[in-house]
Amino acid sequence: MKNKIINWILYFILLLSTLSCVSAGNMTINQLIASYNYNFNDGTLNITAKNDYMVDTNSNSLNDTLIINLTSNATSGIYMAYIDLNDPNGKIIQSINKTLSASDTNFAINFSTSLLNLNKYNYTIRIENSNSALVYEENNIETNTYTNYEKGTNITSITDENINNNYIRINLTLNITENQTANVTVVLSYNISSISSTEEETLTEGIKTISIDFDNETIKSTHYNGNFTIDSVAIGQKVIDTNKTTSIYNYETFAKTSYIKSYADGQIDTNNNNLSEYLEINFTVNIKSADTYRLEAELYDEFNNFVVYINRTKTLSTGEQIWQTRVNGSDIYKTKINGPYLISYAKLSIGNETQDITYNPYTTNVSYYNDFERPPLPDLVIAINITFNGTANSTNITINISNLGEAPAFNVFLDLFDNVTYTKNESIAFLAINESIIYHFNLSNSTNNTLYTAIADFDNLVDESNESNNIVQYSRPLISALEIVSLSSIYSSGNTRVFEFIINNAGETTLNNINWSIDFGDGNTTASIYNFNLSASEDIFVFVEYNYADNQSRTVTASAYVNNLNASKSTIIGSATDLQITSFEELYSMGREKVWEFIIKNNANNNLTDINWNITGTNTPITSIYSFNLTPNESIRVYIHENLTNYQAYTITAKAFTDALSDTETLSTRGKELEISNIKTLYTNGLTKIFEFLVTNTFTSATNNINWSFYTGESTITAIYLSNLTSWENIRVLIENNYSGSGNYNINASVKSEQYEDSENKTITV
Amino acid sequence: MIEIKTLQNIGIESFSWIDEIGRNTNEASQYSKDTLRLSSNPFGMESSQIKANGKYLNKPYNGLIGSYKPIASKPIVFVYGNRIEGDIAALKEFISARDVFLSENTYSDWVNVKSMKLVILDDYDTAALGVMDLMHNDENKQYFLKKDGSDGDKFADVVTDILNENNYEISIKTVKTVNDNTK
Repeated sequence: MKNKIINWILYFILLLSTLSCVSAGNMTINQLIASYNYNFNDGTLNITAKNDYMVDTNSNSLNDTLIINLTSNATSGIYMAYIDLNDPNGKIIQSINKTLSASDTNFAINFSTSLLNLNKYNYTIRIENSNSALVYEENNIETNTYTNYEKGTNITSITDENINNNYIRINLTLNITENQTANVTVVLSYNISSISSTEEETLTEGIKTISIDFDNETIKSTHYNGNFTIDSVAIGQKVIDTNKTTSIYNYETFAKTSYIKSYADGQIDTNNNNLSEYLEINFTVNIKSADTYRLEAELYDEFNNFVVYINRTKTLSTGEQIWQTRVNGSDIYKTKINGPYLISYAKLSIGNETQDITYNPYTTNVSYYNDFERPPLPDLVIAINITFNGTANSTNITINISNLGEAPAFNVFLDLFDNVTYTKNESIAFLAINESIIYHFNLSNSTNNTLYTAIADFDNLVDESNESNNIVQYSRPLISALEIVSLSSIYSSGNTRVFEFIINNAGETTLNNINWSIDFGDGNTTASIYNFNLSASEDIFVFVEYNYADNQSRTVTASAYVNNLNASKSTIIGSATDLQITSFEELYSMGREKVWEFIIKNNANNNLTDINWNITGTNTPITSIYSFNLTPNESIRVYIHENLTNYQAYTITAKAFTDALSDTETLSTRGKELEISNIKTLYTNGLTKIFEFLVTNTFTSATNNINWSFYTGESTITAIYLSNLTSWENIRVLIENNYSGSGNYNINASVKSEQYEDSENKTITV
Repeated sequence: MIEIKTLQNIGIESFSWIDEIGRNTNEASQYSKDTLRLSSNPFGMESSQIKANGKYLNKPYNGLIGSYKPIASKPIVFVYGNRIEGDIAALKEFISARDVFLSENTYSDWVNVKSMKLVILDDYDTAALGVMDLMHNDENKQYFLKKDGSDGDKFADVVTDILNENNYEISIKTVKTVNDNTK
C-alpha cells in the first residue's frame, strides 16, 4: 500500500511536469486544472448557436430575467439542458427539460436576475439525454454585459451569538427585494467539514433580520473549539458566499449529552521484555448522565488496513473521566500491520442510542507490530537424513518436519532441491503441536557429492516463534585426514642429529591449529610452540635438531595432531655415526713415503648417497675425485699413497662425509730419517727363531753412529758396534733367539742415531 | 455509472447496507434531497451536479463517498462523481478504504447521529486529478467512453488499469523542457 501512495506521489509529480504548454518547473496545480479541456460531445447533438438577452417580465422598466437561448442540430429527443453561471458565490444553475423536434431545436433557459451579482458571466452548457447521461458540455462561454437589472435579496449584516449554551444563532439582516417564502440555509465550515441549518422563512420586501439556529447536538458533533466560518447563505435559489468568521465557540459548552473529549495512547510492557502486552488507548469522556455506556472504535493503519475493533461496556457516573481500553499486543502482532494506527471512528452509546461519534479523531504514536508480544506461535523444525547407495548410485532422503511450537501450523510447505536440477515440493494443510510429518524421497542416478537443501515454509506463510530452523542442508561430509609423510635423520655430527619430518593434510578440508611433537627415543620429547593451519593437500616441513647424550640406537617418533585427528611415524636410527670411518691405518712407511688405508662404512638403515672423503694433515689435502653411495652396512676401503714433504711428525685426518653426515679418524705418523722395515721371521725350529729386519737411512744425507736393538719378548739384543749409513743405504739385521717356551710374544725392533730413531712392533707365536 | 458487476469483480460485496455506485441510481435520486439537508456535511446531487457543504462541484473528476441511513432502511453508501472520471476516482478511493467505509459498526445506529462520514474529491484532489489525466492523456483520450468498434474494450481496459493501479506504461509521457538543450 505504501508503494501505491509513493506511486501516486510520483505520478502526480510526473503529471505536473508534463503539461505541454507550461514548462515543467513553474506549473501550479491551478494551471494543471485549467489545462484540461472539459468540453464533451458524444455526437448526439451539437449546439450550433447561442445567444442571451434580458427581458422585463413585470413591466417595471427593469429587466428581471436573463434568457440564454441555445440552438441545437437535434431534431428529436428529450433532453435536459443546464446552464451553469460562474458566480463568485458559487454556481447559479438553471435548466430546462425539452423535447426537441424538427420545428423546435432550441433550449431557452431563464434566470431570475435576483440570483445574479455580476454584469457579465461565463457559463457552461450541459445537456443530458433522457437517461440523465451527459451528451454535451461546453465551457467558458460569455454572456453579454448587463448593467441594469433587478437585484435580488442581499445580506447587509451577519452576527452570531450563543443562546444559553443551547444554540449558536446566526442573525442575518437582509435587504429583501421581493416577497417570497424561501428556505434559508446557513453553512458553517470548520477544518474540512461543515454543518448547516435550514429554516423556512417568510420574506417580505424591505429590511428584515432573520435567525438561523444550530442546535447543541449538531454543534457537539463537530468536536470543534474555535471560530466557525459562515461559509455561505442560501436564500431560496440564491447562494451568497459570506465567508464571515464567528466568535469562538467550544462544542463542550453546548454539549447536553455525553461525548468523547480527547484521546491518548501508550504501550504497556508489564514484564519489561521490550515487548508490549497491550496498546492502551485512553478515551477521556465527559458523561452527562450516569448510565451503562458502550465505547466502540476501530483502528486502521495509514493505508486503510483494518487492525482492531474496540468494543467496551462500562457503567459510568457523570463527569469527565478517563475510559481506559487495552488492546492485546498479540492481537496487534497477528495483524502484521505497523502503526501509527488511526482511529477511524469512535462512538459512545447507551444501548442502541448513539451519544457521540467522531471520525478520524486520533492517530496513535508510531509503533510497529513487532513491538508487541507474540501470540502462541508454531515452530517448524526440519531435519534431513541421507543415505547413499554407491552400488546402485541412488540416494534415499528422509525429511522430518516437526511443529515444536505452541500453536498449530497451517499450510506447511516443503521444498527440496539439490545443487543441480532436482527439485521436489510437498505440503500438508495442518500440523498440530508436537506433530511431525516424514517425507521419503529416492533419487536414482545420483552421486555422493550432491548438496541437498530442504526448506520448510519457503514463502514464510507460517508465522513462527523461531524462523531460523526452517532450512537444513546435507552434503557428504568432507574427509579430514592428517599424515606424517616421512621422518628421517638428515644430519648428524657426533651425537647431534637433525631430523626432518613432513606433515601433510591428506583430507579435503582445511585443518586449523595443528600441533606436532617428536619423541627422540631417549625419553625426551619436544613439541611445537606454535600451531599452524594446512589447507587440503598442503605440506609442512619440520626440522628438529637434537643432541643425544650418546650414540645408541633409538626409535624416533614424530606425531601431528589436530582436533580428533592424529598421525605419527617412527624410524630407527643407528649409532650416532651412521657414516663411519671404521679404521684408519698406515699400511706402508719408508721414510717419508706412506701408504694409508681407511674404511668408510654405512651404519644407517638407509642408503647413503653422494659420499666423499678427504685427507688432511699432509702438506697438501687429498680429496676424493668421485662421490659414491653405500647401502646399509656396506663399506669401502680407501688407499692413500703419499710422499710427505718433511721429516717431521704428522697428524693425518681422514674424513668421510655427505651433505648431512660426516665422520673423521686420525693417525700419527712421521716423515722418518731412519726406517725399520720388513721385520719378519726368517726361520723357525721349535723354540728357536731367526728374525730379520732392515734399517734404512731414509734421510737425504748420511747418518752415523746408528745403533739398533731387538726385543724378543724375553730379552733385548743390542748391536755390538755402531753403523754409519749413507742416504738410502740400509743394513740387514738377523737375530736368533731360543725361546724358553711357546706362546705369543711381542717383539720390537728399534734403531737410533744421535738425532733420529724408529721402532717397529710385532706379535709372533712361538 | 459503474455497473455493479465491476464492483463485484474487484471484490466488494454488500452486507447489511446498500452500495450505490454512480449518481444516476435510484437511491441517489431518491435521497439527494435528504442528504443535501443533513445538518452535518450535507451532500447530494442537485441540477445534475455534486453539491457538498452548500456548494456545487463542477469538475468532471469531482466525486464523493457519503453515507446516509434513511429511517427504517439499510444504510446507504453513495459513491459517485460528476462524470465517469469522478465515478472512477471516487470508486478508487472507496476501494482503497473499503474496510473503513463498509465497517458495519459505524452503521449500527444512526437514529440520533449528527455526524456522518463524508469524503469529497474536490478540484484539488490529486487522486481524482490523476484519474482525469489518465483518461485524457495522449495514449487514452482516443478511447474515452468508447464502447463499440475495434477499440470497444480499450476504455474498459483503461478503467481497469486505473482501478488496479496498473498505470506505469500509460503514464510515461514526453516532457517539454524549458529549453531545447535538454530532453
